[in-house]
Amino acid sequence: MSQRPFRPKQSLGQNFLKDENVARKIVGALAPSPEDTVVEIGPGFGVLTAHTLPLAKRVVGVEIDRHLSATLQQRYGGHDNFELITGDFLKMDLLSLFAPDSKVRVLGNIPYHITSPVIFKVLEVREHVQDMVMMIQREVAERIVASPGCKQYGILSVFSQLHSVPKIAFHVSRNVFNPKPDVDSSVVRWDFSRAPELDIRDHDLLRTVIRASFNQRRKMLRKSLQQLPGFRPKMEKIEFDFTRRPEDLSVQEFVDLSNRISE
Amino acid sequence: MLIETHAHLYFDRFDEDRDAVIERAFDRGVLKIINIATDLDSSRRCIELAEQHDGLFATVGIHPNDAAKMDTATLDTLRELSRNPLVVAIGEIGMDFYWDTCPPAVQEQAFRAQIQLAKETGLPIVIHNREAASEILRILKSEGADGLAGVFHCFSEDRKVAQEVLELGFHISFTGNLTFKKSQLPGVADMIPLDRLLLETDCPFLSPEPRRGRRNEPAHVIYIAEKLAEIKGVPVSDIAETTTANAVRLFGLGEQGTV
Repeated sequence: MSQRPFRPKQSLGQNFLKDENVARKIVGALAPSPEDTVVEIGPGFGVLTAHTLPLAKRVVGVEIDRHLSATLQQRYGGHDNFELITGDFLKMDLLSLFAPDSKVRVLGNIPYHITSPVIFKVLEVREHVQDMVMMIQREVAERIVASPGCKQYGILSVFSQLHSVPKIAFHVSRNVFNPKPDVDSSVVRWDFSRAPELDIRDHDLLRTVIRASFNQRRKMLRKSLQQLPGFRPKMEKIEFDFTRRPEDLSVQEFVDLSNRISE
Repeated sequence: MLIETHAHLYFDRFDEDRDAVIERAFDRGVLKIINIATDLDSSRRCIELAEQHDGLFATVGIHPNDAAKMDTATLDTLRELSRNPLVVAIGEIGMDFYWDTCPPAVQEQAFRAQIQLAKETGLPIVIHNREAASEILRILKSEGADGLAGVFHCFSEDRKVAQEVLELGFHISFTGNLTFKKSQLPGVADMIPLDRLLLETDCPFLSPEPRRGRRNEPAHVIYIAEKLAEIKGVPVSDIAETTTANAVRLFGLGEQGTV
């Protein structure tokens, strides 16, 4: 194989982590144990893979870039517990990657333009995921963990907190990447195993309520929700303060409201 | 409720107070803001901003004045970036014969490549036209305007060009230039059917009356709506409702948030 230097592909938005200590800290935030399967999204040069392989039972890397994939295969193909899939994570049938009887751990350091689609994709299969550790832009991390009443509290916060307990593990300076991106980063851990115990009667309805509410976040819920087909008569029968605004409702309150509308 | 379909909030002129500008727009009845890119860097910035704030959306694209930067790698990057669901259009793209920054043939090639990208991704286009209307119309026709939707932003042509644009099925939007005292544009705006109009500011440029001469911002989109209401002889609420529905339909703004 040729040893020509690899240039980050602008088209894939690649910014590579070049600091080993940060890499170790990120894997430490996931802390895989010998019985765990780790699905790593976008291993790149394998800087996280190297620290994960000695700890986990199995590491499944999903890499979209063929050249990187070849390099990864060369470097880590010799490890019995490493498995590599070349392809687009967003287009994959995730359940086919997972063993039916155990929950996987998800790890990712991916281009920032694709982070929220990836988060939503993992949320869809949350029953099969124990937790997820991902490095994302700091402002987005702050939105994910924001509490009701905060400026940053929005649709990302509600959907993340509905199904997991998200926490910022630590912040990462933009200087540890090559090339240097124009935003700072944070490492976030979504703990699905500690998802709040919520009695959600109708998941589709709940999604509709949350999305419609935040679609016009400055408006009172009365305004945003009464436009939805069939909602108005139901809203009239419920005792609820519809003059409230979506940014003040906790996740539990969204669930209660949606359950009562479903009755 | 209004939709600001053309802002450049990533400009450093907003560095000091960007969050306050966004809050002010939402406080004054703006429902959504689309930030429009002009090159690769700003395409990324538009996406970052959209990820940071509910109600913000992004476009990706290379402005005709930057058309020299267009190559296969750039096009691949635009395609990759457009996978983010908050990207709602390719733009701003087109032709500019006012600024002599890039040869027409180079501009045309970049424009055509991005029209193809729009067709491939199913996204509408945001067209920048400066003294190049006949060229743009020729290119759109030869690329096949069917299966292509979009808007002629900052419209400043005459009724004849407007008629051709409407026949191609495109939308038209006016900026602060509609409100200027000597503007001829009200005579053009009155012929555009309500269902083809969008609202925009093009901020930080082109502040409308009575804000002329100061930095423009999305909250000022209300002045454009008021002027259109005056020209059309309808209540501002009609302009707001129709242009909002047009923007939602054209840019697919109801469908984001993939959960």
